[in-house]
Amino acid sequence: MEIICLRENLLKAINQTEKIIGKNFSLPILNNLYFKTEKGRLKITATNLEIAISSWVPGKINEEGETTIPAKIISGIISGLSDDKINLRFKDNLLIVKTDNYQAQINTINPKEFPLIPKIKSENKIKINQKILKKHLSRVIKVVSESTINSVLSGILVDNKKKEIKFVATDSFRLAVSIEKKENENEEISFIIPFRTALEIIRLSSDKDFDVEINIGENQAVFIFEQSEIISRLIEGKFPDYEKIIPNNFETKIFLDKNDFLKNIKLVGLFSARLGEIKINPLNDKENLEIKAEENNLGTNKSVISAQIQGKTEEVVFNYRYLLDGLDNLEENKIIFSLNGNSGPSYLNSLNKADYFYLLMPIRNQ
Amino acid sequence: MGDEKIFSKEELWQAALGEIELNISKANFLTWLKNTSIDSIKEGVVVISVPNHFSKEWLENKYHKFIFQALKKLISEINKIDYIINANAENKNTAAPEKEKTKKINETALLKEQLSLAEIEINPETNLNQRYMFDTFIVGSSNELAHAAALSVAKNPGQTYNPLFIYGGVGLGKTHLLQAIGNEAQKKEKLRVKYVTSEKFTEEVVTAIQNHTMNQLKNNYRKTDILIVDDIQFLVGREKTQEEFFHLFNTLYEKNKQIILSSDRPPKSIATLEDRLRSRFSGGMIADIGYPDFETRLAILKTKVAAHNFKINENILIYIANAITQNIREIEGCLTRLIAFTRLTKKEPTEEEAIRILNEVIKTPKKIFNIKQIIKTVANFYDIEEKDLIAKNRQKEIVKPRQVAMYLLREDLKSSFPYIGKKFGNRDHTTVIYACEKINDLIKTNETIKQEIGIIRERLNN
Repeated sequence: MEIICLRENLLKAINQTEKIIGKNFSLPILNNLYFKTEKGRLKITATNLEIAISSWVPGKINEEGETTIPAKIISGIISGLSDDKINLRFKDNLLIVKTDNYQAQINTINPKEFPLIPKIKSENKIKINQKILKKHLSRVIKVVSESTINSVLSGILVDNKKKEIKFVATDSFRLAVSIEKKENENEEISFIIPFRTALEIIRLSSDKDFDVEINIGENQAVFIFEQSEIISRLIEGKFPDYEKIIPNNFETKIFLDKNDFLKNIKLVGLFSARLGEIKINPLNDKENLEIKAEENNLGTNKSVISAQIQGKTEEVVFNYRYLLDGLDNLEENKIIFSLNGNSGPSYLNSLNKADYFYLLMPIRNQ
Repeated sequence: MGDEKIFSKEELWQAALGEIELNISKANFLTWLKNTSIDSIKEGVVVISVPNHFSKEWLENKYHKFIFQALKKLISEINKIDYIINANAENKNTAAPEKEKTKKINETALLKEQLSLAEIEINPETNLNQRYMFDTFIVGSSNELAHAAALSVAKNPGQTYNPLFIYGGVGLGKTHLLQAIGNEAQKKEKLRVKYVTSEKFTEEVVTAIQNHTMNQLKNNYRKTDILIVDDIQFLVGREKTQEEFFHLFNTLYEKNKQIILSSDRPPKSIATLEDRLRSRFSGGMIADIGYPDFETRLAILKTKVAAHNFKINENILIYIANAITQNIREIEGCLTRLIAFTRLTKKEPTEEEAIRILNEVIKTPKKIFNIKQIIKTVANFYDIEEKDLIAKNRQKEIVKPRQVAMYLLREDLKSSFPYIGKKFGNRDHTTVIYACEKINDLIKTNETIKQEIGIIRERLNN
């Protein structure tokens, strides 16, 4: 194998792949990147046996071949070099990295030992613009459950319909739904992307207008980007019937300014106790919302912001971090915060835009 | 095929692994053969269950020869090996490391206060709540039998006890046990489990009748491998639903599908349940969950305290265990209150403080009920007319309920014997004394009557 390529391209591909390498003490080859010449490019692959990421590097191939090298070493070398052009040559079980004034010979491990990357027998193909994919996954990923009790909650549901694509995540305390309203030519299909895979998709997506192709096979899928792809399992099982949970009626509706609300929650939250409790108190004048928090060792604080309040004025306690996780994702400044007392779900959405909503349960008020 | 009987699936795989291990490096062995098992052996085809696609690719393409040879050596009839992915095995594989575990405990500690969207926890296919597991069910003498029967059913559904009928009072863990069976059975094999309360079932039948979708509903239910129906006593008086349930029961039963039922009382005490249903319910195993004894109550409290990552004086726990004897849910309620107090004041409550806090809960005056309500409830429970209770009537079916009603008036309302006699059609006070003594004796010897009185009291209090 011999290839000449630009440092910048090589480094990008290495960075994209090496991130998923975990600490694997039992099988050393899992700490390696797999290099292979393929159709005039160099393909670099890494895997942690749950996800595999491949990335392609354009370059001049003088001789075909394949090998594996420790990710840490090659990544350190390529980011440390300052030359533009890099020559990689594989000979006698060594990978020789060479520039005008630098040379390294790295011990390799036989590529035959490298895990075989599962092939996807594609049953369904869909295409989603990578900007859209990134935006919506980022909007719901914080809400994915960390608990392992219910495995379907440890991923993001992608629900592709003819007229819209919905992205849903929940950890049972809150539920986030992000909606892309746009006609698409995809088959109607829904699948659950594991948390880690969603994270990698967000990382690999750029802001270029490019359609990511998703090939979905039996319980696994490949996400194909311009210069890279992710192969991952999908989560089996049925996602909860989340639409059923969304209440039709609310006891209290608060119309307010998002930025104002956000700023004051952050401020008042400084005094929140262990559970992040802040009290949301719609005042009886129906024109002001009081936000307050107390912490025994610190003290108390409160803040009043103007709002339009309809319905009951009852104080409800929330985890302020959870509130921020939802608020952050609303794009419009005019929002509605709807409450259902201190034991029912609350609901955050934009006044004029139905592209995102967030359901949050309160903290028991003692 | 005699060979196959000698080895169980597990033994066969262990033996084969021993052979395979010799041919590959330790690191490879650990990476690729961890969490594998034999899923099935049928007509010379061995199906090996692997945790993920990566293992499948590797075993199929790299180790197939070793695996085949090793198995063939043990059982000569084997001619083919298939690999399937079992995602559950993967879950075990990626079991959370220590750090995450402590995080989970903290998370559960928060659970009681950070409210959750209850419906999310429920699996939409089976209706099971995944929190109810056998691990978290505390066994004592009062529920030993029910627990053992449930475990056995979960291991061999449709084979040991069919139907399994579990009964007991409110808040003693019937639903926990029922759901644990479903969750456990689902963990191992891909069985179709369906959990439904009898109210939900009734609702579904009614909707199906309205929309003419009865066949759909029937087909849907007939596909289940394990059907769990909670609170079956609410089928009482719903004739059409009972009929549908009867047919469903028969269909599943004939196919050796497991049926699990629960109720607040044994089948023979459920009035107005059609006889044919009653006899079927009684046809399998009937197990009761009684009131937990002191040791069990204390064990439950200690487990809860540990789950909350919480320190509390043992004497306080003993106080709670002594004070609340009949409802586990109330025991948990007391604990939640203490925890809330501790969080608020940032210090462990002293015994005196704890007792003061708990007394607010424990000594809440019971709902006050009067003689009319007792008569009505008793009549309702035994499905007889109120006026028959009062009337001069010595039929056996009436006498017992009447005695129970008198007993309750005496015990719970502290009415005088002559007063009770007067209210029950001017009977002599000696009749009342006799009735009360009789029931008092019966309670000591007869579990059924004890249960019945328990339920009647519960109803009065609700």
